[in-house]
Amino acid sequence: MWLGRHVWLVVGIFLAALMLRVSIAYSSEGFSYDGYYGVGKVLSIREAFPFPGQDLSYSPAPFMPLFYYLLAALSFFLPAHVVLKFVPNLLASLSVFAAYLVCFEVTRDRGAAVFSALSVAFVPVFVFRTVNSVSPYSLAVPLMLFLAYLFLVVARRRFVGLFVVVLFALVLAHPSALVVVLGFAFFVVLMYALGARVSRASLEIVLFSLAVSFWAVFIFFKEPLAAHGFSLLWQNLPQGILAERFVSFDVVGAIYGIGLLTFAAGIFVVYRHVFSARDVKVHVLIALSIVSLALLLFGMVEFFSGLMLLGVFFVVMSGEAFKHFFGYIQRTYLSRRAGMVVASALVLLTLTSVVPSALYRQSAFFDEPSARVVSAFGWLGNNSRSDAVVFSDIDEGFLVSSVSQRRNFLDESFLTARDAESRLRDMEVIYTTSSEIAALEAFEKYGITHMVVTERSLSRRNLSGLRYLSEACFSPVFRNSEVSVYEVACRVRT
Amino acid sequence: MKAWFWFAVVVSFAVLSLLSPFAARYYFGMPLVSGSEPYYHLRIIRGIAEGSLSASDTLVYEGRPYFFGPFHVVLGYLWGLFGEWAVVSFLFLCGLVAFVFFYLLLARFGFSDVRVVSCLIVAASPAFIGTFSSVNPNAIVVPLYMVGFYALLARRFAYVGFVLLVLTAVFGFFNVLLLLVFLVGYLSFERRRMAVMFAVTFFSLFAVFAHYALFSAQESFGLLASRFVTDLGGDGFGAFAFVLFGSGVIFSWRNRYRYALLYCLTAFLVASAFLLGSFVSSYLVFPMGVFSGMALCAVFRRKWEFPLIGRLAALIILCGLLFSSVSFVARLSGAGPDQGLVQALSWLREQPQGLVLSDESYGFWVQYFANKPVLVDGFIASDFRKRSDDAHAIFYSRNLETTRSLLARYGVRYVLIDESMRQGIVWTRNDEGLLFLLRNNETFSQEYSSSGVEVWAVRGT
Repeated sequence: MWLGRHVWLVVGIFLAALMLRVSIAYSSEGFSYDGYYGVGKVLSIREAFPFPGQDLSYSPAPFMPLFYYLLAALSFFLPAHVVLKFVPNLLASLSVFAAYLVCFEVTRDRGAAVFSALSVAFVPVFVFRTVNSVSPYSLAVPLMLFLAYLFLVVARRRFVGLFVVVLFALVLAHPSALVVVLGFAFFVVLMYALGARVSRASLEIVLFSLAVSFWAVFIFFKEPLAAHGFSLLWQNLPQGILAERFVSFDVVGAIYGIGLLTFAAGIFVVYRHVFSARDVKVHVLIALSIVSLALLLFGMVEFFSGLMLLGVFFVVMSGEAFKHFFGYIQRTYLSRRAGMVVASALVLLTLTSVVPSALYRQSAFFDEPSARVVSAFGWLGNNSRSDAVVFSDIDEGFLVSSVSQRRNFLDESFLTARDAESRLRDMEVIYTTSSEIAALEAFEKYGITHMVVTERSLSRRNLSGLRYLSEACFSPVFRNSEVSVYEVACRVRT
Repeated sequence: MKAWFWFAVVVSFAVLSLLSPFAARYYFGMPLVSGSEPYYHLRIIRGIAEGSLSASDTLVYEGRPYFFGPFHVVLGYLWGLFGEWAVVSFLFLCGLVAFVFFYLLLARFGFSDVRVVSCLIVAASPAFIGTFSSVNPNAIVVPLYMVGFYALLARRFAYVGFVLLVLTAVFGFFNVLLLLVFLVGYLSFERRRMAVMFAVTFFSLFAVFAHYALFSAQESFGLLASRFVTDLGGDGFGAFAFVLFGSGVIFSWRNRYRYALLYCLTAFLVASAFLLGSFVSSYLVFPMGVFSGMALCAVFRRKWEFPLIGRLAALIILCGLLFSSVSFVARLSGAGPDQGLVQALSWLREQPQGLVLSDESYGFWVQYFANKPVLVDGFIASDFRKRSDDAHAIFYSRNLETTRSLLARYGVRYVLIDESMRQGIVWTRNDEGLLFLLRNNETFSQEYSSSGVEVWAVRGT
């Protein structure tokens, strides 16, 4: 029974998802631009294990440690490419099993659970955000689903210990644990609102989860919290970047990111169950989805991260919709063509989820530096003093700190930055000014010793080159078709 | 025996809490008292002790009257009798007395079942530690209230209690109000006139919301709350203490008539904290401690469905409370003035008299340690805004002529700069405003530089 047909199907889906992810990840040598944040973290922890190591960001920020420590520990036994490319995808693919368990617990229908497992493996935004970016979401998302499963079954006493362990793991993996915990709390509120009885056990679990997750956030993010208070939610992002990352909810983007079939199924389940307290377990998933959606709508979570969580919860809920749908089909004349209906659903799922996921490299989410760019940053690491400070475009900042292993001038981490706005302004001055003095003043202000100029950074600003470069002050020390590296040789005299 | 044991435990914990900021600062070689304003009070106290207090305060540009009261007189005489250490010892003793009488009061008011936990929460609270580790009038007023209330309730010493409570009124108008609210509340409670207490409670809460709606609506509620949460950078209480406080209020509501006096006092203090500022935390910490104690006892005594979850929840709450206290003590022990600054100011004390320009938060330190007048300090005088604006103009202008004329207008002779000013308090860049102009050696000359603290002399003044 345990190793029945459905289990083999789920194992097959897991292997298919893993293969797809691994093939995408290994199709390039490097990682996405933001993936180099994770690469830098793992490398620095490995060097100073068990301590966090040196943070070469212009503004070192606290982070939840579990994912990076796990990879750093594995790196002592496994080659770097396996640790950074295979392991995160292996972890992310485990969502398949977690989704199956959750959906089966809710629907008691193995077919629907398999369908959910298949859907979760290919939620486009989840694949895009985790396939090649060494992202802690690779660990956090399966843990979230597994925690949701344990919450559903926690009344069976033997699962309590496991719930506590998974909760701590999730809290230590990523701050988005708060979304799940708030979802549990909202479930309790929803049940009260519907006049349903909430067990003492659930209430205790919810209060305990709230205490653990908020406490962890207070411990790990004490300093940014003290500096920014509740506005830490917006990560201290400068205004321009805030508007980019915390964009308002857009339905078309959501459908593209989640998949049409999953989105429709999720909406159907919410509509069908939200005002009825008959099926308590579905309400756990509805609460998780509503909290994710509310955070997205109110701009309290980064758009794509929020969309990913919403997508994953919708996918698990969609099992319930498919159960209803196939139940309905059985009562119509289409029941004789049930196989065709299932096949149609699979084709639709393939077209709206699997195909977009497989086309990652052609999608708008694909954003990886080329091998030439990475090699230029690698060269800089081997040919500059260890106390060098390197100027680059903002999204190349993590390349400086991880590949070159040098202090960067600016990157996309703003949590503890005091002067992010002025650095952003000065970065644009350096790219666009025609005055060598203005550029040198900016370099002197931040103690910049080297400058990396990529074709990408120039084309983003519609520039063909920097207008002030003189051989005397900016000696080119490395050049290939995409990157030039300069050493700053002058100082402004006052 | 058991009662004495717990009494010894809570008092020992309070002693540890009260001593920890002083011990930490002593260990790091810093002056025992942290913060800026306490040094204003200390200067007056020292003046009284040495008999050198002049009619008006001359250590600020164009002078101003002293703001002093009975608190300074008491501590001034103690300093005169026992020396400088008497101030810190007196603060510690005041904290201990307030704490012990709070413990005794809880029994009087029928909170024996939660008093140990409540007292431990109060002792670990940043507001309690902060009140009795810094030189401020509340450090005397709070124990006066505690002893006064206890004596008033003890009947035999009711007159003593009455006198002590009336004495608190000389420390400020807020204390008169607090006393009135307590007496009205207590008399109503004794006569079972609950309506009066609930009226005070609801009026206080209404005042908070009205104030928020009228004056603070542009601020987010989160920002407002973060002023009182030490974990969010504010002054007052840890985040877990707030959660426990809220839970305690909810738990206790079923016995609301029994706790009516406590609701009444708490609501008044919460309203005052919103309206008047975080200094009210020194008073609010005690009723908050009682409600938090109730909530924590409920966690301990609850028959949990899953005992493992119960034990872990209690452990996390305790760790959360301790975490807030430890981080607050760490904040106090790292707060200015540090040893490097004190050395620089001691050096400056030996230099010829002249006006000192520094950030306004450094003003009281300059006056206390260097005995030099400053352009701006933390108190507002009639032309403070103008002087503060001019000080900002000097700090941020890169126009040498503008800066020179402003320096000459006020007769600034010294400029004091340290690393904290360079890294955020005033400037964020190394070449910003005055930092850029300091390179001009016709106008400025560096007279002192050590441990990141620099004193620049302005030439020609």
